[in-house]
Formats: sequence, structure tokens, C-alpha cells
Amino acid sequence: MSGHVDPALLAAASGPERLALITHVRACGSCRSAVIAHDPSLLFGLLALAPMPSAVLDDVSREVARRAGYDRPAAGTLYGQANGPRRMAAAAVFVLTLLSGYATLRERPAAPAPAAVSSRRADVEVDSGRGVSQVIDLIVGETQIVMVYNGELKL
Amino acid sequence: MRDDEDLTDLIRAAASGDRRAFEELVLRKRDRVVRTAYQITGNLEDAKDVAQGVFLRLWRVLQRFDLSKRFDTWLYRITVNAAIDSLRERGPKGILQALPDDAGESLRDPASGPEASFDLRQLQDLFFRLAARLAPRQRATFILKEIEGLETAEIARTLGVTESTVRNHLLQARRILRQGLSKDYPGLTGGRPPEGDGEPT
Repeated sequence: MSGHVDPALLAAASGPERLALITHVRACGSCRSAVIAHDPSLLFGLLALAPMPSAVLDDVSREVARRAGYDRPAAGTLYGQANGPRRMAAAAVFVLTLLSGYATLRERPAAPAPAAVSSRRADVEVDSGRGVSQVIDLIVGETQIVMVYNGELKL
Repeated sequence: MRDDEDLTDLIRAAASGDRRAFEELVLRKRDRVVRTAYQITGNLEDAKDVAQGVFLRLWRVLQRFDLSKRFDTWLYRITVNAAIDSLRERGPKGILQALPDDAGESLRDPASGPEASFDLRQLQDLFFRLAARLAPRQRATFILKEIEGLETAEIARTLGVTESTVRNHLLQARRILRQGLSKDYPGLTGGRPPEGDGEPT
């Protein structure tokens, strides 16, 4: 990299571009001075270039490998891969369970209400010449009432 | 792109229980995990413990990783949270511990004047002293931005905050560090306040 680093550019940079800039700043005294004059806290970016001791890194690898041997996860697949069908199946079972519960509740005979009213159309239909009359079977509580309909309800 | 595909293959293999693949994953990521944990905890031993914990947790939960997401963001999140927990649990006992001798390298440049007469080890020690004045989240934000070189959006995803919060943390952290440097180490800034002091940069 040639030329000088604009400290404002260093403050805004990220990723590989930033790494290139701080590598230059580390080697170039005048750029370092410019960075310090602009904002000395930017100088701490140079710590990205400080190597971690290899002994520590090796310790981490060794210890993790040793302990991972005793702590093996169940073999499986990643979230977002084949877990999709498994999750769909679980969701389907859940929905079916809900539906069957709902159906059971609906089928359960309800206790008769004191003044429960139900009606059904009777199968008798009489054509008197002046119109069609229908026999309506009404049950109010324990009492059955037969009604004749010919244009209007009649008791 | 090829690196990303390699990483995805590695994650997929490790998640299915392939220990070799997992060890390769640790090898690739251990440097940034240890460095991030070290900058947050201020102590190499704590950083080592944090890194081991992070990778062991990774081994257990890797199957739950969503391949459509960025792996590094996920890894940084686990690392930052574990490091902050460690910092809170153990306190600042190791804050002033600097890198070992072999990690330092001189930054002296005869042409640059006396303000640059420190090396990375001194810079690290300086950072730990001043970063102790930052709140853990401010500290983590500064480290992810200035040392790890992450973009604001990725820091926001890592810390689970908005980009505006990241910018705010960063502004505060820079201001506190700048003031600390000017006050405690006037030789570095030549006794003059930095150009942008007192104003948002």
C-alpha cells in the first residue's frame, strides 16, 4: 500500500480493508501520528495484529478435543436442513391431537337445558289447494308441540 | 466464496458428529475466539477458559445452527456473552496483565517522533488500563469494531441490539478512551486534545 492513510477512512473501514490500513499504520510513523492526532483511540485497532500465543491456542484445541470426546452430541442434521420434515411431522401430530380433542368435545352429549328448544322438519307435507302446509315438530323441554304452517305459523 | 462453502461443509460434518471436522473448525476459529475473549476479559487464562467453554458449547449445539445465518456472527455472540459473564464473575483482577513477551513487537519508527515509542505489548497494557473504565457492552462494541473490524450491522446482530445502539456505544467508548489517553498519557497525544474531541466522529 502506498500513500498515507486517512484516519477518517480507518475509522469507517471494516474487514480486510481495515486490516490492510492498520497494517500500513503499524509500519508508517507519519500515518500513526495522523491517526493519533485525529483520534488516539483508533490506535487500539493495531491490537488486531497482536498474535495470540500459540501455546494458548494449542491448549484450547487440545482441551476441547479431549473433553469433546466425553461429550459427544447425538448425530443429527442441522437446523434448516432435514430437520424441516421432522418439524413438519411434529407440527402435524400436534394439530391432529388438537382436532381429535375438539371432536371429542363436540361429540359429548350436552346436558339438557331446562328450556332447550330444538326443531326439525317433519316429513309430512300437505297441499290443501290454497298452499303448502308443513307439519313442524317442536320440542320444548319435555313437551312436544305440533305446529301447522300455511303461510304463517299456527299453533 | 470457496472458503464459505468449505466452512459450511465443515459445519455440516461437525454437526453430524464428525470430530475431525469439528477439530478443524476449532483450528480455524480459535484465534479470533481467544483474541476476542482476551480483549474483553483482560486475562489470558480467563480467555482460554472462555474459548474452551465456547467450543465445547458449540460441539453440543452445532446441530441447532441455521446454515442460512452467518456462522461467525453466531460464534462471536457466544464468545462475547461468555467473556462478559467471565469478566463480571471474576472482576478486573487480570485487567493489567499484558501479553507475554513473545507476543509483543516494537512499533518504534525513528521517523515518527517520540509519540510512537511503544510496542504492541505496551499498547495492549494501555488498552486494558483504559478499557476498565468502559461498561462491558461498550467495551465489547469497541473491540468488535476497532479490533475485530466488524461492520456496525454485524455488531448489532452479534450483540442483539440496534445499529443505533452500536453507534452510541462506540461513540461513548471512543470518547472515554480518548479522554483517558489525553489525561493519563499526554506524551502520546503531545499534550494536545485530539482533532475531533467533544464532537461525534
